[in-house]
Amino acid sequence: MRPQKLRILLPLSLMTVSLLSGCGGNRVNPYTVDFSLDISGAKVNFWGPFGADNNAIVEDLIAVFEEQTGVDVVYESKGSYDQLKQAIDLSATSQTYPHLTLGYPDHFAGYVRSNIIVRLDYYFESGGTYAYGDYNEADRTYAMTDFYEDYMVENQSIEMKSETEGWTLGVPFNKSTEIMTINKTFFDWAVTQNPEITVPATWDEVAAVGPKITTLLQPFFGKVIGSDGLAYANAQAAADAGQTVVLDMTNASANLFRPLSYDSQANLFITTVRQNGGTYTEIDYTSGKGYLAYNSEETVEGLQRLRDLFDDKVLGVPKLWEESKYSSGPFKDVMAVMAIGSTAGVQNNAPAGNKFTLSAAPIPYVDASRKYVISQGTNLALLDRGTEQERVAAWRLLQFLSKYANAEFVQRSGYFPSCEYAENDPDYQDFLANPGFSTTEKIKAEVAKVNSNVYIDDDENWIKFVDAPFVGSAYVRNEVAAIPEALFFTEATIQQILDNSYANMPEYVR
Amino acid sequence: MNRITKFILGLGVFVLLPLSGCDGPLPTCLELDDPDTLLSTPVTDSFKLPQESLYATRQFTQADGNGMMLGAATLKSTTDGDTANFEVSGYSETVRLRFLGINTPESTAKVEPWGKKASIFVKNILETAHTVVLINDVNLFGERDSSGNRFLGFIWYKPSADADFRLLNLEIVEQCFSRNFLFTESSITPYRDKFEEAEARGLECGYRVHGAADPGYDYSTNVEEPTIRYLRDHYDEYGITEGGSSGKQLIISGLVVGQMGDSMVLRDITDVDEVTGEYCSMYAYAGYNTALASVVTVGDVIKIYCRATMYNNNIQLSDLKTNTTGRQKIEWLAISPTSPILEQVYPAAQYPDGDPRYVNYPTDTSAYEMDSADFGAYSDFAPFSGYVVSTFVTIRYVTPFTDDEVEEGTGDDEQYYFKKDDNDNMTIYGKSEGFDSEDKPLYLNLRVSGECYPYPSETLFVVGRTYRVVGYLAAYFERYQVQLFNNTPGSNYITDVTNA
Repeated sequence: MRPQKLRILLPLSLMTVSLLSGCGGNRVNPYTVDFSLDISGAKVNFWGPFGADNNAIVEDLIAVFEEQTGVDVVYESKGSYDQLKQAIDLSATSQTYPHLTLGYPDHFAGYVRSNIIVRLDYYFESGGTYAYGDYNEADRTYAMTDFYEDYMVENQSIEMKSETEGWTLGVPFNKSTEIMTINKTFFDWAVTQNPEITVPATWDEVAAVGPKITTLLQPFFGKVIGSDGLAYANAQAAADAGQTVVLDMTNASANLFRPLSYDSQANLFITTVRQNGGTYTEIDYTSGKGYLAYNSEETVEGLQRLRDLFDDKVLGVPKLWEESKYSSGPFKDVMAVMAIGSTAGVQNNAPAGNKFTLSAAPIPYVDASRKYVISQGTNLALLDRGTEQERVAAWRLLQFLSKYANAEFVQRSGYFPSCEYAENDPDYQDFLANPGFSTTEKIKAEVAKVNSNVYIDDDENWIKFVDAPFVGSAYVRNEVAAIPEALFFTEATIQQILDNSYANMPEYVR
Repeated sequence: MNRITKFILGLGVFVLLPLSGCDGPLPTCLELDDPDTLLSTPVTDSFKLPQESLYATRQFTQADGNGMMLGAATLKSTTDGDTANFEVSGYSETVRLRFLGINTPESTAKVEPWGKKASIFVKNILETAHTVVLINDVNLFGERDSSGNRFLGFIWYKPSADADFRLLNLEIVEQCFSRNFLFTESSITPYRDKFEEAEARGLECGYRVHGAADPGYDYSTNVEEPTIRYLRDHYDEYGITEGGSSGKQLIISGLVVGQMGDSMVLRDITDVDEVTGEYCSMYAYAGYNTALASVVTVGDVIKIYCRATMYNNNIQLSDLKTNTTGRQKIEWLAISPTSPILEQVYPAAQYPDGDPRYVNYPTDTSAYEMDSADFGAYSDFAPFSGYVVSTFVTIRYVTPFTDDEVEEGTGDDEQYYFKKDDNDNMTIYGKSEGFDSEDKPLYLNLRVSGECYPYPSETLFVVGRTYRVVGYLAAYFERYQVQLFNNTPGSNYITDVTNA
């Protein structure tokens, strides 16, 4: 099914209403550049956050751009998102930041404060044609409407030009969300043992099916499931009895088994607030300051469900298994058979040695009217630097990466298309249809299909949300990650936990 | 300059290049005749460890009230240019440490320019260091990296007992094996300015990672297609040394004769080794999360894109291109009748006898019989190195904390016969049937990757009993070890023959 436009969740915050201003000194005015300039020979610096795998992809794409345009691109990874932001913050004082960067909306909020980010509205209006490369003429237009609306809104809610309209500060590049990875081998077998054991779609279904899963597996902890449905000490013992191994659970223990794991405690909390009808944070329309808004009945109700699931040994988080951030290790040891985590890291759930196969499903929701799933990933932005020629060249690189090279980037990296041009790319569609044979290749394609056919399909009513960025929103996000931990590992009441959370962040309490 | 640091990088002789003061004009950039030449390190030389009086009484894994983690550590192994494993007294697990403030090029599952040289540089320093102290500001940087598996920290080391401590992370930047990645300031580790200072010369002169070509890395897009035997015997033609890898793109065709998790051993399908009359084989490291074993199985004949590196004196394949689609996809020259994807490649309805091409290739996966009874020295194992061998191993006790190198144990308290790390990588201590000139057994340990599935558990072995094992014989420092395969039922890789 052809993906529909995404819906907007972001509250249209009215942050500081500011006027377009010059960027000072004798530098080039970024809002009068001439897009007819010959950019061949220009040198553009581009900073990113990626590791080796994605850097290799970006470098390949840059090579294509360089061949198309004659521009010399100096790409440099700062190793992580945090380090990228730190490097740009540091370089802002010496004006040694790059022409083009990637970043989250809250990063861009900081760059607005340091007055180094360029508003892209003029660029879309005056430079909205990409004349390079071998593309159909109809595809050479480059407009804001090319991109999925959710992804644009998060870039247009940072600096407002009026009470209802924001400047465009970024363009989506590498987008991801959360997904539920399924141990397909287990579920294929389990349904033959108990037809009620199916992949849950709602949290109520999670609560219902979880104990059934644990009950079914009770005889098999520390053993292997034979093809006759009996428990054997190991694969050799099963073979000696003439059976093949359905699922190896020799590393799984009964007391630490949880049917479902959830990687990110911050996402678990924020999504729970949303799915239960609550509000996470809100922004003062006049000051642009962000405030906590999650201490509500809706949040209490959602957290009570999570606590019940944890206490009933249905839900686990990495800390339960003494893991710091991810539950892929326990999942591969069959300490869980469903794992919610970032789509960008789904390949980490692929076990070595062909131990079991995987599939993917949307995360559970509470109510069909609030099917919220978080949107993640970063955006491209121009920084206020360089000659007129360099600025035009940087804009052309932004255009190329965000639209014309996006299909190849997402296909190779596992991120999602940022625009329909990439989504409809024949090679990308072929990738979805023919992903290859390996468990890793297949799960990446399955995840992409869940995104294309479920999350961004209007008929499915999913809403990808991004919380409005404000200065300090990343700090708040880090702090609320402690809420599920207190919920699961302390005796405090839910109200006490929420009150304590507010008390720890008084500067964000109205 | 208070000292001259010497490192062994390939030729082992280096020239220290002059550098003017960092507050003065930028230095004249020099042509490095030998890319292994170590640069002078005035910034590192002049920087001192402020907490030198504290480390002896502290433990790195326990942060104080200010968030300072500090303490001595003993090197266990290095992984690459920015990660190493340490033993910390009072902490039962291995401290896997990701170095803060740097990010060296890849050198393990992937190979990037300067990666191997960075790795060797760090290895040589840490393996010869007299004292190592780890420090971190946990409040600022956090305790662990994004994977959650590695501690974060800075490494101060003393090259000798009477030398000053040197900050290794800073030295790596000053030697231009990494760009500066320290962008924040810490009250506990106030190093940021030093890192910027240390990077300045490299940036100006374009040394190493700042723009110089790694002469040991092949940047060409040409793809070579040697046999495994040719690669083993002529690795120097491909620029592979212990001090560096060419990064040259290779296509290797081979028969899959064993698997360790997703990694595997490939055996030539042409080009018999004239010395042994056998086909050569080579370990191919798949890296993490490739799920290669979901498509490749023992008995397949495949063609795969990869690169080659040297690790512990063994040539191995790495940076495998594991996708089954795309420009550099794996190709099946012939597919095993037991392949999990046989039905997709050669549907039984159309090919009831399986892959019709199978007759075109040697598909015997049996092991090379290695009789060690007549061996009198470790060098006698050498001709079998890199082969899948079948041989006898008797399990033995070892003395704790000596890694079995000193004496064979007796089985008293605190003796053990296997050792397993956090990632389930395991060594089972064994001996071959041979004896050296002093009538001491020639040790032959078994190595199990934590990725193996089914996992050959230590419970399969009993001290004093003798086993016929089938595995990949690889050099391990001056000795050899047998790397065991996925213990698939019916494979008969491990057989108790004590009473046979």
